[in-house]
Amino acid sequence: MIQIESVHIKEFRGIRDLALNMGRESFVVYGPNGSGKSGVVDAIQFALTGEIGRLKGTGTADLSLSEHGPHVESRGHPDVSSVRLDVYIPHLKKSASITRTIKKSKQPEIAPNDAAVKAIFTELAEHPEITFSRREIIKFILAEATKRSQDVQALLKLDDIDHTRATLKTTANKLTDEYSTAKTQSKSAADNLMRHLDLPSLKPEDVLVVVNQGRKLLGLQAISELKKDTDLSDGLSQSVVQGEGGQTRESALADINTLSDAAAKGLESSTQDIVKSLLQNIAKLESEPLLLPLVKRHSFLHTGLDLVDGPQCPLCDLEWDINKLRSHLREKLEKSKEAKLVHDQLVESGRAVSAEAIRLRGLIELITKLPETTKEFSTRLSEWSGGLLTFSESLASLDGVIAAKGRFEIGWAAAPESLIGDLNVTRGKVKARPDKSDTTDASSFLVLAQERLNNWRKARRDEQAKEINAALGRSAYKIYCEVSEAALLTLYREVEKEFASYYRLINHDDESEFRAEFEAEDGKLGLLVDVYKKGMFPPGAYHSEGHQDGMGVCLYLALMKRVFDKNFTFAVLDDVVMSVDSQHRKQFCKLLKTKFPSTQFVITTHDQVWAKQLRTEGLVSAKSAVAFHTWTVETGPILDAVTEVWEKIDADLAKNEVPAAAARLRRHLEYVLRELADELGAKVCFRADGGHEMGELFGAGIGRQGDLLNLALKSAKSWDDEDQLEKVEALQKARSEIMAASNVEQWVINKAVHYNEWAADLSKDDFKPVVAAFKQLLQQFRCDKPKCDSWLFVTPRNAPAELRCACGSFHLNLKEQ
Amino acid sequence: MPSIQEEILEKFFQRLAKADGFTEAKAKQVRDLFSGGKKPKALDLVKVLSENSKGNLP
Repeated sequence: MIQIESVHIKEFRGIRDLALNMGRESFVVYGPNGSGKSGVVDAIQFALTGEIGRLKGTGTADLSLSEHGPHVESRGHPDVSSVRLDVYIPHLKKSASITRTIKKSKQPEIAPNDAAVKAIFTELAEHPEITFSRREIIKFILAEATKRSQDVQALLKLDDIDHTRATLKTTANKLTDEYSTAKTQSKSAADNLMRHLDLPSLKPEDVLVVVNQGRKLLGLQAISELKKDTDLSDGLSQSVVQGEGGQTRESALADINTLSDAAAKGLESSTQDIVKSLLQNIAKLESEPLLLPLVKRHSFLHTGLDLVDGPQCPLCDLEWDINKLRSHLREKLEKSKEAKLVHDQLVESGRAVSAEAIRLRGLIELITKLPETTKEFSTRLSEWSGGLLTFSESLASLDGVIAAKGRFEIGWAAAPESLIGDLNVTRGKVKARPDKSDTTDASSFLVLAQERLNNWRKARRDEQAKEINAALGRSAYKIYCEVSEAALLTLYREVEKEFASYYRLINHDDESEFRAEFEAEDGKLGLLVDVYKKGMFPPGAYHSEGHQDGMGVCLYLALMKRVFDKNFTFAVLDDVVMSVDSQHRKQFCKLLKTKFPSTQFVITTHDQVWAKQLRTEGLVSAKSAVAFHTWTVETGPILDAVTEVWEKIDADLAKNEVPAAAARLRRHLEYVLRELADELGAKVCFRADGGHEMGELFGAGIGRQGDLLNLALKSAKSWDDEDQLEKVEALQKARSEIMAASNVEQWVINKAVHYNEWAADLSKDDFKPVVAAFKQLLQQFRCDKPKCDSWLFVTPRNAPAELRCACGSFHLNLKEQ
Repeated sequence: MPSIQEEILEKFFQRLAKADGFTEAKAKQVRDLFSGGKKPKALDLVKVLSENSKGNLP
């Protein structure tokens, strides 16, 4: 996967123009709600996937990427709305970049445009879960089992497994249907042969008795065994077989009588009960108009019920009382169980009638072939047979069965009205055939017997082949189910083990024996967690919201590790740990640092304390943090990236834009002085709204610095620490010089020079020393090591014993001996 | 690293080759349908599973 070097966002969502240098390290973006943090998350997600998750899903029907992706001032200009990521690909040891515009969201510009790099970005585009937001935690922890299963499977890219399983199931069903049809055709061929031989069954010994009678009459050798290549007409001259065979009068009459008797009795009589049940089911569907839609929606409702995990309907987004909604769906589902039964019965009935139609066609075909059948009768039979074929094929679907209701009511066989009359005429003609010699009849008998035996053999071969195919289909499906279920079980065991170990690491103080269990069954994925060794319960049963949040993140991390393994080098955690209580945040940082040392996390939070903790615990450095302190529609987020502010002020002054430089310096001081007061434990009058004046904070912060340096001086003297003494004296001297240089206190304290007035009457050359003085002054409060660059802070806060930076290279002892 | 789907398919093909009624050639034909991440349709599978099957005469 990748690590991000830098992000450049233009006219995108709430951002006008923002460049962040992440340097492949974990990075924190913090600021109050509404300061524009989410724009950064959206931008990274967009650059990698071409989509913005926030514009999709529940409640976003009126939102679109093309219309609402660009900054509001750039609506209608999707070409100027862009995000560029400069990244490093560790396993390729290669740098690359990807740039997307809203206009061409699916056609990113990738450089270098080689296959390996493109493959990485293509893979990433299929993993929107790389950005994980707070609203998604619930989908892993508090979701219904079916929804959890779907979401986990989607994250793990398991969708293909279900797809393959469904394809193999369809394959098995199709092969079974083919086998069923082949069985019917084989039975029909057997009936034809039995009728010709005038036998009730096709026992080889019975067949040979009948056949050998004919052969004896013709002076042919008796056949002793019916083998698979036995020719019943063996020994007859070729001319007889080819030209004079024909069907014997008796055999032809048997065929005619079979069809005639069936017609007299009613061609549908063998399916009478089936059709009765079928019509009753169709009537049921008609009398209950809601039933038919339910028949078709049964599986949809089942899924719908599992998707209900909040007050909104998962389909229409309308708000419902969640219990009423569930009850409503359950009622429909209960009704649809009956519907499913009706569905299954209708399909089964249709299949049975279809088989009878196929058999009837076999009989019709025999009559069509008789030389006594007139051309007109033959045409009627062919049309009838064609109609039966279409009819039998239509019964393959539920809709086809229902649509054939009228035909079932009047008699599905739909024989020609003149059938019995035509058969009588044909029978008369067959009966009127001139008597043939016994030997001629015997020849004809053997030739047709062989023909029907061949047909039966062919049909049996086909039936057996289809039976084998059906078995192969069932076997393939069964094997795939076994293999996939075993693999998923192993997978879930691995994930639950990893998940529980992460959670234990965070909550080692009171849940050191925490464990979790997934229960995968029938497309559902249940999750049970240990509750203080009192039993296994769903996560939402007894754990607090904070603990559930922790579980959500742990499960997410466990899943991501399973998906990417060593290539899990990047993830965005969008405000996901806000509910993790302060006691466990340190451990959370430890989790990320120790278990994912090669992963770059981009973390957003509105909690300033949490942001600081990320730095204190060394997960991010001072340079890898940016604070958005406010946002306006004109400017986008206004940030306090310390390292960049002086460059921007210099740029303002280079353009002689003193008011702009002054405004920027003031905003920066507002932010920094608040930070300093906090880091140094400065005393300011308490204000519930936290709205301290800049002058008040400046006085308190600078005063506190002076006090701390005095404490450090006393400490150095008491310990005879020459190094610290020298260091403190140098700091105090520099501090005095800076304070005097441009009288910085006046700039801050005097309200008259706060705003535009501050700069309106100043020239660039007047203002430059002010800027330089503040820069030097603030630098006194920072570590000068580039890798650290953190603000100095006192620790412990309530009784400071030292003044130090995050990396420890700046350190002053404050305690006297 | 093979995906879970790929791992499952590989085991599936291996078991298929040893399953009753399947020859190695038939299992390979099924494997080929899935090669290169392809998602075969049921009709493609029906065709492969139906190929060369023959019944015995009664």
